[in-house]
Amino acid sequence: MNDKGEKPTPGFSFDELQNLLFPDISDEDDLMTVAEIVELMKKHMPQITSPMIDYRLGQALKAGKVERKRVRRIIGGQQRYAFGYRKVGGGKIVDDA
Amino acid sequence: MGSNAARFVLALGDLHSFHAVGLTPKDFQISTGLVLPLNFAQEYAYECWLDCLERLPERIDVLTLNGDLAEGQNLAQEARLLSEVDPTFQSRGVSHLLRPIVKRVPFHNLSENPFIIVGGEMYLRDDPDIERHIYMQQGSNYHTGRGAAIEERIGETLHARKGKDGHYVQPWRSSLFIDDVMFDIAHNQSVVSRYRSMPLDREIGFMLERIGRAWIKGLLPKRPKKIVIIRSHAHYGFRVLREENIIAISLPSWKQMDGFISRGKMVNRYVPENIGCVGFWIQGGEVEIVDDYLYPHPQPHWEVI
Repeated sequence: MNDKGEKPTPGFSFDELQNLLFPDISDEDDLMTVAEIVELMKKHMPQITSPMIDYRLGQALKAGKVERKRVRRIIGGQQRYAFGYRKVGGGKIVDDA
Repeated sequence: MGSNAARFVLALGDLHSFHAVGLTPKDFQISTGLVLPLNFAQEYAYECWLDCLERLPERIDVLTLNGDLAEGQNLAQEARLLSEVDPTFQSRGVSHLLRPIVKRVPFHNLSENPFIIVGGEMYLRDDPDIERHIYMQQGSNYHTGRGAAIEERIGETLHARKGKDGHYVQPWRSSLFIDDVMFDIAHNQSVVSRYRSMPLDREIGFMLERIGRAWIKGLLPKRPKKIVIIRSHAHYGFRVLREENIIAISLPSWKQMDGFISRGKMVNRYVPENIGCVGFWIQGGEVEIVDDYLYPHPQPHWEVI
């Protein structure tokens, strides 16, 4: 409640809410690095977790915005293993990919 | 308290805490040791929650928690929409959120002072028999875990009323009398994308059947002047249907719409009007619905080319 007794209002649209969950990465024309993709995701969702990053990188892969090799290194990475999911490989997150 | 005094009942549910668009506590330390930063949707829900706390009365005679308080394991989406995976910390987070409300709820049938003073500070005694007028109904199994473990933990922390079976969380509270008003509260209801009044209409029909049968058998403890049916689960936003002396309510959720609901339940056809919770003033068998705790759900942006 503010000083006038008014209620809060969202300040964002339903479309932006949907984009919070499925960020639109197709705005970028150039091929993005993994670090850029992760940065973009963090902008949308500061507390993004490893499974979310995995999922969105899968989307990025389908959209042709990241190279398969780089995605694989993240999907098979330490954090995925730490969350108890199937360990695919032994890679690590590479910020400078 | 005499039966002529007005009593306030608060009904809330579907918090879906720690979902990416659920009501999530701020400045809360999660299981990784980090203080959770909120995204803009969580910030908005939390801002509304603080506003709601300011608007609620100082005394809440009965609090009913109608399920899906925490998001749970989000198994269908491999936890990718969770801000906290650990179920224990999810329970703690919900208790943390609810504590300012719970403090306003009176105790039930106390035989001795429930508080002790240690080092000048007042604490609630660690006694499982201390119960407040908090009534919990079980949310969906998907969210509450086996045996509603997440919500049971919350009930224990908040000193909710226990059932005869020793559980804090009951699947269906079908006949709770508050003065001369009978409440029938459950989490689940049918979910339909069109004719959204139909589930409430049907609940009224079933209620009439049940109460008629109880009346014929002489099982009713007293004749209710009003009947209030409360359901959740559907995330429709606040809906109310009245017929004769029966009021059927569909509670709004505190979670904003995510992909599962917009594409699964409502198949790109429906955006809720509001989030929040609903209160009731009860006096002399009359029920006044308080809808001051509703907040706008984000709506589509109309793009004109």
